[in-house]
Amino acid sequence: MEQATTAAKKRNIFDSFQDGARKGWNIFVKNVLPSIIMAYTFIYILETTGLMEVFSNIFSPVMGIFGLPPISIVCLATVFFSRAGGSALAASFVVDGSLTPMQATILLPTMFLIGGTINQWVRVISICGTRPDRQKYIILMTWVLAFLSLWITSIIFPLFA
Amino acid sequence: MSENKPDSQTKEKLSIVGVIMLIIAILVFSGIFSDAEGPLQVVDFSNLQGAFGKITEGSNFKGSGGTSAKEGFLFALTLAPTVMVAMGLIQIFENYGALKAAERLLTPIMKPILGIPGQASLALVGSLSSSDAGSAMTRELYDAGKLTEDERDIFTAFQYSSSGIIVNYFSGASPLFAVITVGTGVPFVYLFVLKFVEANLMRLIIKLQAKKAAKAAK
Repeated sequence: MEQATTAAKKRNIFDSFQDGARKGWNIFVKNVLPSIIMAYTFIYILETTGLMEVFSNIFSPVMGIFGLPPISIVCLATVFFSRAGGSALAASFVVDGSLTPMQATILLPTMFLIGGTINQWVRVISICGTRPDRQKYIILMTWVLAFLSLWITSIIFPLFA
Repeated sequence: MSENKPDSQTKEKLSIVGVIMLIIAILVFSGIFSDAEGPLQVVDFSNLQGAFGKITEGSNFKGSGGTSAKEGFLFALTLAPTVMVAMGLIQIFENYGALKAAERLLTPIMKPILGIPGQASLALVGSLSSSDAGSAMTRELYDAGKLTEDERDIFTAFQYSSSGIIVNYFSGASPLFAVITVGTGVPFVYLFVLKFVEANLMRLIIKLQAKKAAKAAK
């Protein structure tokens, strides 16, 4: 650890930036790019087959509670497979006018919270070794907070706009 | 690593450069200077990313009317600079001690705000950029007897919510940065605060469980 810190200190600002940017490129190529292509292809299939319409109709009352258009359920479903994919769809819905920028902003934390459900169970809960009877509470809390967030952020975020 | 670290860390002085870096990091991602005039506008993440030139009126190289995977590919390309600049900046902040400063500042308040010993602050800061680093360090602390079972489970709740937030936020949420109506850092801070909420709800659950167990024992 000591050595690691001295090694890091030797890197000046310019080197550090490039190290980070290289890391960013790898994350982009390995995670962001594939998941966005997946999401766009997935949405193309849903739209062309008419499944999107069906999907939206089923969930429109649920999303209505939170003052969001039914199409936002598609973002919330996609985020299960990939956060970047779900976010990319939300961004594309803003561009085509199905979501307002504020609605997309409100959706962001919720998508982020539920997007980690499965991945983080494996990487955090099981590695930390959480007592089995408490694991369900952790997931439950995250989901409850995720959906409460839709209301909370609709009050908070306009203050920062 | 976790054997000596927590003890030596309490003696470590808070570095001024680290604190300054932490403050700059907060300013850059807060969006406060996004509309600033003059030199101050460089202290803003969205300004630092710059903008693509326009090929035709109102659209960049992505064009308009694309569909499916090809449209997704071009859209994704617009995000490469965003993720690269974010990671580049974060690397500078990290190398110049911003996370170390955060760790040092967190140590004394860990017990009151999370109910976890200050020794765990290294693992906490680690968990912000990598879920794996955080959970592995937590396991080590527990195995070394430095965290009780209850403390470990509170800590897990903290880490589970928005795990690895620094890296995951600046990659996973990057597609939305161009459209959201608040500064890039605002949803980040909100998610960060929720981590503390979640840990404290876990504290409450553990208390209730203990009460229930005590009742059952009677």
